[in-house]
Amino acid sequence: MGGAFTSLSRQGEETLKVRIGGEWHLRGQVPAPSEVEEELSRDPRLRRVLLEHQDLGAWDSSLVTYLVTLAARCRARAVDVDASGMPAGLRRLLNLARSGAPNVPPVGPRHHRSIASVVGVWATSMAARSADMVGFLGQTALAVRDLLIGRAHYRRADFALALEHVGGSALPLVAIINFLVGAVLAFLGAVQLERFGASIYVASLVGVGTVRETGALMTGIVMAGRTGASFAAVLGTMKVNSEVDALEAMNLPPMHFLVAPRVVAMLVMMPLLVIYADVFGMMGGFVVAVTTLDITPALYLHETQRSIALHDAAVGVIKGVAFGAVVALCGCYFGMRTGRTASSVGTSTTAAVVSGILLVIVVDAGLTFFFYAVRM
Amino acid sequence: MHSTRSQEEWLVHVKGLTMAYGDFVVQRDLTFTVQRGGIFVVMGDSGSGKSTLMRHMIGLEQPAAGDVHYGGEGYWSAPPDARERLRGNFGVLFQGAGLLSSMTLSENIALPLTEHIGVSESYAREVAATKLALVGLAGFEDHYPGEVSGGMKNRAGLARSLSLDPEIVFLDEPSAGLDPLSARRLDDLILELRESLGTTFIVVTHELPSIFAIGDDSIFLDGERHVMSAKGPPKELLEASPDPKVRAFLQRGRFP
Repeated sequence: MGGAFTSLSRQGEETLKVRIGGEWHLRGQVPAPSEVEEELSRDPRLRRVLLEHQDLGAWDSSLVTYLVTLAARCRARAVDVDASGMPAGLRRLLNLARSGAPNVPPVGPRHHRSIASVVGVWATSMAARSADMVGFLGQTALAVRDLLIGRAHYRRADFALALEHVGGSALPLVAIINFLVGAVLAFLGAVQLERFGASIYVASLVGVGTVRETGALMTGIVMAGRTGASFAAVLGTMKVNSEVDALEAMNLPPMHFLVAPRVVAMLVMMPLLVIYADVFGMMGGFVVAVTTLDITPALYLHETQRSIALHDAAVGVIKGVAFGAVVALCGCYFGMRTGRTASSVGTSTTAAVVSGILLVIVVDAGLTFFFYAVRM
Repeated sequence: MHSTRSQEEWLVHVKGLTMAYGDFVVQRDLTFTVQRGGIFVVMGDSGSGKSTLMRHMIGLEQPAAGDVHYGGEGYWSAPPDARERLRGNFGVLFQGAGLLSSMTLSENIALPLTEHIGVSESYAREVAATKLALVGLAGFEDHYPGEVSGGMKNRAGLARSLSLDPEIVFLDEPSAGLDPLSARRLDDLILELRESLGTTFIVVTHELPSIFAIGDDSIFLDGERHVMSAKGPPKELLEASPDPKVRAFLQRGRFP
């Protein structure tokens, strides 16, 4: 038997007879319903399409598709389709395809093409998002207060796990990054200070720079990439799996159960991590200074001690706590605002990391200016 | 010749299949055949390994022992390219449908058509629209999976499993989340496709009305003893299964 074919002929004034035959396979060449449509357009007197089969061999859903598409196009032109001449199985499939189409709700908004609408949608959504963020900040503050005064519903095991995840597991990464940044600072200082014969001040530069600035900043950035991302991904996945809804339904507020332990864990761990980071940063400078410059270990340590005051360390720790708060809030906020699809978890994780790093730098600039202004 | 004759009768032969996760044996030594053009129902209590069996049959999990033969060819003893060819004959509906959320329903169904048999985008759209109409979702072509209900997702997943007119269709809980009318319609569709296209169906379900309406052969997996405790047409098992658990399971449907 040959390939799929259709042949058209007239039967009286109003009827177009479509004879269908051959082997119909999705993987082969099959006729398109458009030739019938063309015939119908050519002669508006045609009101009826009569389907018949002749030498019809094996067929698969390509023939069903042909008939369903043809029927839909004829319906659109108010032309009747008479399929009574087709095999019974095909007729039943056609009926199945035609029956029970429910009311179709309109599809959601798709693409805003014009620049004006893109800008407008962006601006209004930013305004709404900012208000939402402030609201979330308030809710978080209340939840953290509830947790601290012992009124929050949460599992201590979850809190301990958050502490470990935020603190303990971050130690190697924080150590490596701060050690290397300390070493880079030392090289940078050495090249400049050597010209004035003031190499010994490398110790002060590294000490003050690390303790006031880079220790906290680098730790904040590491936390944004590591912990902020993980908060957003975990909470987002829980959202997608309806776990957040389930908590809400059980009267366990997600803000208590999920957000507060994570934020508090971050606030507890950040000062410790910053002090730890400071130690490694200064060690990086120490190794560079002792091995490449003519400075003895004792002299380096003495100079470091002389140049750092307690309030310098306090500045670093305060900054660290602020960064921790920002990162935890971004992670939890975007996690809790995740949509319901797989891709929305990715979107919110990216948003958490990007806004976490951005806000860490912004807050750093603000605090640096503030401490300069109050001479601290 | 005897061997070729028996190959014509059965399409799938599960031979001594043992499924395990590490040391935990889910089911031991399963052996059964599925007739070509049959509708084969896998029943069992929750956690008895029905979905796991499906995952073993379609090549997503490797058996601890035994093999699954398709038309005489062992899946797990076959080389990778032969496995790929065998998989080309499968259509699968997963629990929860597994539709790709970044694509519309129509794009989900068109994907295998454009990727595997290289039809044009516009023709793939027509085929997708037809398949959606067959499962009762005409008009939902441009909706995303996130915009339709769970039952609709399930039906769209069924439409996707049918997109290439596969020889064997695996359905994991196809009527989960469907109202009785839609479930009935789904049964009609399965019967009709078997009738007109000769498709073989392997259906994991515990919807009793469906089991009796479509199943012409079945097995029952016992989750406590980790063995297949019954095999045969559901209507016969209802009356005559030696295992009281199987009779109890099936009678719930008849005597509510």
